Amino acid sequence: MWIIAQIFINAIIAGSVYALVASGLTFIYATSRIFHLAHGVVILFGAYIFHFVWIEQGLSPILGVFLSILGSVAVGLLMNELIYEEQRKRHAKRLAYLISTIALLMLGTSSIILIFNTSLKTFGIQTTVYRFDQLNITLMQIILIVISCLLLILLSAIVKYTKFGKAMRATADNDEVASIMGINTRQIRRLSFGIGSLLASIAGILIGLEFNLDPNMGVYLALKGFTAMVIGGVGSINGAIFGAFLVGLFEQIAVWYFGAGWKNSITFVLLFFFLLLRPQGIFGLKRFR
Amino acid sequence: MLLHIENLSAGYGQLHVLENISIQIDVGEIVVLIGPNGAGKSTILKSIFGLANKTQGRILFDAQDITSLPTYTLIEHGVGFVPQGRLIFPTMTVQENLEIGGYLIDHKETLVESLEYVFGLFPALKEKKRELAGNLSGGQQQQLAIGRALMMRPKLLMLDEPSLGLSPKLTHEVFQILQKIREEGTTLLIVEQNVRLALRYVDRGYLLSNGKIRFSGTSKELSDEKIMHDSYLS
Repeated sequence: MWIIAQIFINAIIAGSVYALVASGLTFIYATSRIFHLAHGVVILFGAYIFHFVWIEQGLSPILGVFLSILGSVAVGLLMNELIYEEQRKRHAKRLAYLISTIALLMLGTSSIILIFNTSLKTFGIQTTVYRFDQLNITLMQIILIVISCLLLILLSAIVKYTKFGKAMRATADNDEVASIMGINTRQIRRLSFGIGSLLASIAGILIGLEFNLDPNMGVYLALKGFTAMVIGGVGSINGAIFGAFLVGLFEQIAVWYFGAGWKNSITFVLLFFFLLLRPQGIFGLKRFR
Repeated sequence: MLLHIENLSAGYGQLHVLENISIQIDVGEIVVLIGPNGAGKSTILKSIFGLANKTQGRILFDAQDITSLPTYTLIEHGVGFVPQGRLIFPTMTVQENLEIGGYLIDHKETLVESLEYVFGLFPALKEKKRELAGNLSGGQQQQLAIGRALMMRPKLLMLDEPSLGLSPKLTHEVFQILQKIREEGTTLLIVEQNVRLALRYVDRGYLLSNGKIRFSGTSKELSDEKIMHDSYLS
């Protein structure tokens, strides 16, 4: 019995990080219709900057968080302004965006290797472990879950109640009509990339603290976020969050029953399952066009 | 003169649709653009709204040059647009749709006033204000699309085929509301396929085919004109 409970706890830990990634991707997809796979690199920049400032330079972790957010948001916004918006001006097709996002993902991964080198980065943090009978959870993991949940609740509230949230949903429904109503949709896309990248940096920091950092993680993180998005129904923030926890759960089940090697592969099994059998996702709010 | 289109040519990418179009509309008029499919009627509205490529010409609104303004700034100048096909925001509630229509309104009281104005015109929307717009009937979606465009109280309201997909009864209702809106001081420019019906409600019209204006005149003249008879009314 305790094994099942432990799997659930681990799933919630992983899922809450993936939820930050997936909701950022959804923000970006909803307003720009781009599957921003290079988001994986934006996450990594956040994580590596945090590690560099705090561990390597020995400066304050608060400064690390601040610079990490700054770095990720800058990288995300630059990708949008220099590549995607320029493509939009030229009436690029969806395939063209997909090719450039893959190129950005590869370019970003190489930049991270060049700047921070390939060695595995660890934070080596000592944290209290709480034991309940045979269940284990660390203080760090509790903090991680709390931060993620608070951010996700804040995000849902922004989308639901604020003027920006409404403008974002209108842009997601139909960007041409949104601009007829006086919404500067380019500004909305910019804000979406900003918010998505901010979430990415937090996800990066939490991933670094809980796991280790290696430069090739970016592609897996992006694909897990993408899978969570497809599971929940592309375009729905709540769906993406739900999908993220499902990805986390399947991952932990696979690790426990089939071994650690299955951790990443199971995500793709899930992805194919949904793409083939239920492409509109569980909530099916938006057609997967 | 409220709207003055001078020698406009426009299209989409390599495709040329409009050739040297000139249109003038005075304050308080209801003007209709008619003509066969592909004549370029919708392209005129889209050109005004920066949604088509203009290759030549000038558009003046309220004596201001609005030719190259970006789409999202036009409503600020007082031009509202109801695009073809009742493009409401389906995943948002009726009230949220209207609030987006009033996106540029800064004062809460002004927004509430505008909402009350629209609910006054379309009482059915008030009853359903918390429902998702995608669940409304076709007629109510068209009411919502018009109401949304009226939130900013535009000086000129342009409608692209408001009767599309509506029953004759609902179409009459829409045109009766449009007349009421005109009486309250809004000028209207309407693209319409349902010529016979439109001419009963409008003051003047332009007949287009193949991207050129073939004839312009009062609704009476348009009904009498032989070209019209040949292309439509027979």
